[in-house]
Amino acid sequence: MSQETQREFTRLVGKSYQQHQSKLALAEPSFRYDGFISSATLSGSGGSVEILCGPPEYHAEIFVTSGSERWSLADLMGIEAVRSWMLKNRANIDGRALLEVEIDHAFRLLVEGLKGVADFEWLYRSSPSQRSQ
Amino acid sequence: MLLRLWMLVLLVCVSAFAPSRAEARAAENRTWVFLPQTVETRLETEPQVAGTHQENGLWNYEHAPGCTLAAESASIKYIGKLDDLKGIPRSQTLLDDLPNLGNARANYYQNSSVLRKAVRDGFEIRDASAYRPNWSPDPTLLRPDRTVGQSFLGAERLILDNKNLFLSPSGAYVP
Repeated sequence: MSQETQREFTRLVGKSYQQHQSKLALAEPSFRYDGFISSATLSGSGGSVEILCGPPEYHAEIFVTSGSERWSLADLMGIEAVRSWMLKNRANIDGRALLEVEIDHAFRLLVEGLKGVADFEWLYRSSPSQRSQ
Repeated sequence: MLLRLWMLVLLVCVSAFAPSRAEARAAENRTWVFLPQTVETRLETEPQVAGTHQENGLWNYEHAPGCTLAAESASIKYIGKLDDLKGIPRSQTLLDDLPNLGNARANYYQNSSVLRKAVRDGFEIRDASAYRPNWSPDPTLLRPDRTVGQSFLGAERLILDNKNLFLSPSGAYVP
């Protein structure tokens, strides 16, 4: 089951990354497996995003490192805008596996929830109009 | 005849006062309860890193190199959030006993059972997330309003609480 979890974790992170690649300025995920712990790291110009899944709960946990500061979901929710986004945009389970829903929601948080927060501007690709300026 | 009778009485007396093997094993498992507590000089939240700890005068005796290290790491198990367990030697965690069973309920029962076994086996339980009280936020992507008390860690703390083990200033759960 745990190797299955690793495979599923890799597949789901890869799939969500492909889906949001055009909006996020993050490199392809690199994966690490340490016993029952799977982690994916996506690096960007101003930091990195780490998605973790491991015992005992096997949740997908997200950490964003911006500069020298590492933000957990609890830290991120300390930002009012992120908190209200999280509370307003509950994940829709819709009969899907929990890990799939969580990873999907983690990427939605990156794409929508952290938008506009100065610390995380590096996460986003600049639009073509901004690039030409 | 009198000598035989005397021997018989002696044998009965000895077997009545000698502890059974089960009692001896139980006593062995309980031994740590009676150990004197060392004066703790480290910070409460600082994870216990395996070392010789010879600065704690009480245990200031000679060992073969590596002996204390092996003995200490073999007798401590840390509980805590996955992220807080990062700097702790893997052998001092329960992580390798917790494969994914595929659903939250099964994982919950497995976790409880593994912790109970560690307590039964006489491991000293320490809390790597001791700085996070049960009321502190511990959101997940699906439950943004969850607290630590509602997580598996909260359940682990409850198990220890029910066994009358409480978090001491040294960071270990003690009776």
